[in-house]
Amino acid sequence: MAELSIFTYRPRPVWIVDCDPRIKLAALAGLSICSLGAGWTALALVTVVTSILWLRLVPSLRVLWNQTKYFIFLLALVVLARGLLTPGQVLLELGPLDLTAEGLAGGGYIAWRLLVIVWWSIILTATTAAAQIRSAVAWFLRPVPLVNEKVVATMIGLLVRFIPVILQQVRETMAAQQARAVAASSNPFRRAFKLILPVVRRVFLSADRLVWAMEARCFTPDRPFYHLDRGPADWLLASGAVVLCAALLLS
Amino acid sequence: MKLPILETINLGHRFANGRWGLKHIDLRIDEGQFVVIAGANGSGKTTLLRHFNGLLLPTSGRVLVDGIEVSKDLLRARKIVQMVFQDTESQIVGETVRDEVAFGPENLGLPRDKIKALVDKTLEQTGLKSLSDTSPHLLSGGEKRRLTIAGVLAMKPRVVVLDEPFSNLDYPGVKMVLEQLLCLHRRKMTIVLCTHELEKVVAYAQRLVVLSKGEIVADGQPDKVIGSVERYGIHPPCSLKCKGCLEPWLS
Amino acid sequence: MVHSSLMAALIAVGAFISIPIGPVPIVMQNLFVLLAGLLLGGGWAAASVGVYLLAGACGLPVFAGGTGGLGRLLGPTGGYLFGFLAAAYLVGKVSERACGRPLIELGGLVAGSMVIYLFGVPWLKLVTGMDWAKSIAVGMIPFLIGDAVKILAAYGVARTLRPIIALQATPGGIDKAG
Ligand SMILES: Nc1ncnc2c1ncn2[C@@H]1O[C@H](COP(=O)(O)OP(=O)(O)OP(=O)(O)O)[C@@H](O)[C@H]1O
Ligand SMILES: [Mg+2]
Repeated sequence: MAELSIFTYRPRPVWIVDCDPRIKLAALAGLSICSLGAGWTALALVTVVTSILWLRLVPSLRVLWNQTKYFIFLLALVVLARGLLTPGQVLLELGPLDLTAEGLAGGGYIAWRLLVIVWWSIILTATTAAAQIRSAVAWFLRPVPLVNEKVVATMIGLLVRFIPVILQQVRETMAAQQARAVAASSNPFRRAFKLILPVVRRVFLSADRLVWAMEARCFTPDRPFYHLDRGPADWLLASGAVVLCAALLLS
Repeated sequence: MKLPILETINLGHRFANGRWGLKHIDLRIDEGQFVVIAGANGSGKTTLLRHFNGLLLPTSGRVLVDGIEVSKDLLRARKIVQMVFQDTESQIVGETVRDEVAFGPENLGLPRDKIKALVDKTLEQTGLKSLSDTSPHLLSGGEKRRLTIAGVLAMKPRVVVLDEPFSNLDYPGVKMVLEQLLCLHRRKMTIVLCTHELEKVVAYAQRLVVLSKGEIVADGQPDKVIGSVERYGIHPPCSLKCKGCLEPWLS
Repeated sequence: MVHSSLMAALIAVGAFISIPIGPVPIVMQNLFVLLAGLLLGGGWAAASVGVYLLAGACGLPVFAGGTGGLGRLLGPTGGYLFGFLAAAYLVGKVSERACGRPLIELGGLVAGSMVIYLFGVPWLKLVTGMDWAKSIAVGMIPFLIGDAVKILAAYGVARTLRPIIALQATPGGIDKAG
């Protein structure tokens, strides 16, 4: 079973780490939206800028590959599907379908765009602590009606906290069941049921204990957020993002 | 006469299913005492401890913390009495070691720089400084236990209540926790610890309370009471049998 | 709130739990989405999926196979992720009204599973440029058997767990129910 992304925030000696997470999130959203309408040249420009930033952060492309290989596989399917299904100049005949240049180009364009967006998100993850992201999200949710941003922030915190615990429980349950040969049963319903039931039950029991623990330490949802403030690095990031957005839109 | 910091008057607790968990508990604990509560599994230790910080409320009788009834002011009781749970895994709420220690002080609404100073100091004290950015999930059992103690100390309580703090710990782990407790005791913190492994702590305690089936069956100086514990399903310390006296566990 | 967050964590983990039946292993993620609906009711179930998506979109490492943030939601399988949101809400609402009548709840579960495709398939079609028949053949048909298994398993688990989850209140009053 795969581990959930081990590649997470670590303090790195790069200016972007110290930027205000709100600006980082806004830059990510802005760039992602603008890049949906971007042309080839702008994409190339953005890719170069992103690569430079990446190599300063993590001097290796291997991590990037590990983080994205599953996604790249999906995107490869997209390129292939587009290549086979778009009419145009035929490059290769594959049975009833033709691989066309137009299709490949169209697919490649879509895939490239998505890959760049994913890449930015990875940079954000690498340079920002979970607590910072949580606070920034809460800050953006503040004006949204019907959503209590404090509750959302607490929920995100619990979510992040509990993923490794649940993974561990799943692993233990699976091992215990292998030992008792439950997995050998050929009825898939039984197998799913026997695996999920103990895991979910344990999760809900730990919810009970978690509530005790939070109350014992005087929990209120009115907790202060991570300290958010802006410095010169933020203006650099913000203006950089605006320039890139403009380039993306104009191309 | 000085007011006891913890006091129960004819405390009884009956669970929703009609079972009595505690009956007729009369206990006065003075500030600065180190009290060990012993009892076999299911004797009601956890149930009793949970009354001290209002996680459970008495169904009969009263519980007073520093002279005021717990149910009248839960928050106050929880600020004074902090609890280390039997099960570490679900006590830990934060996403990193640092967040975990800061969780309590943040709930109390202290100013930010104060929280930071407090957290730094507590991490230093408990020897967790170098781990402050790791995820609690990756810590060893002993480190996790120390983290829960750190999280509790950061609340600056006057009483620390510990539920089976030695379960699942190896020798260095036990030693570390014990040293920490002795240090707190020297600083006049009130410590209430419940366990069924008496030999590790009893030599340091000033008072031993024995619970059986939800009632107090013995209460007094450890060397006076210790002779009777076997009757209630508790294993007496080996040194008592071999040498006829209580020997400190740390050598 | 606590239950809802933990369900969100289960949904995240669900992407990694698979049991092989026949050639295609079935992934448990949408089972947990359905289960969230059954156990938490509409509002909180939607909240748990919503929090999962929000956390993922902002780059927290909760999506399967590495991080990816917003790009994941816009990618070829993003439609299914949005479908989860609708499905959790639908299943939750139906089971709130069903008052434990099995046929209605099962109907809700089937509808919920279909809603996921209602979002997922057109999205897949849009991104890949396939026609309807192909999109359905790739993005829906192979999963249907697994879905039947999951619907039954989710229903069974919910039936067994509901009495356990009946809440044991604590004096302080954190909103655990969600
Ligand atoms: N919520 C509850 N409802 C009904 N009975 C309960 C409940 N909680 C605990 N009990 C029962 O009360 C008794 C005392 O439980 P308690 O947890 O206080 O024991 P303990 O001394 O802490 O045991 P251990 O050494 O195993 O931790 C047990 O027999 C238990 O089964
Ligand atoms: Mg206990």
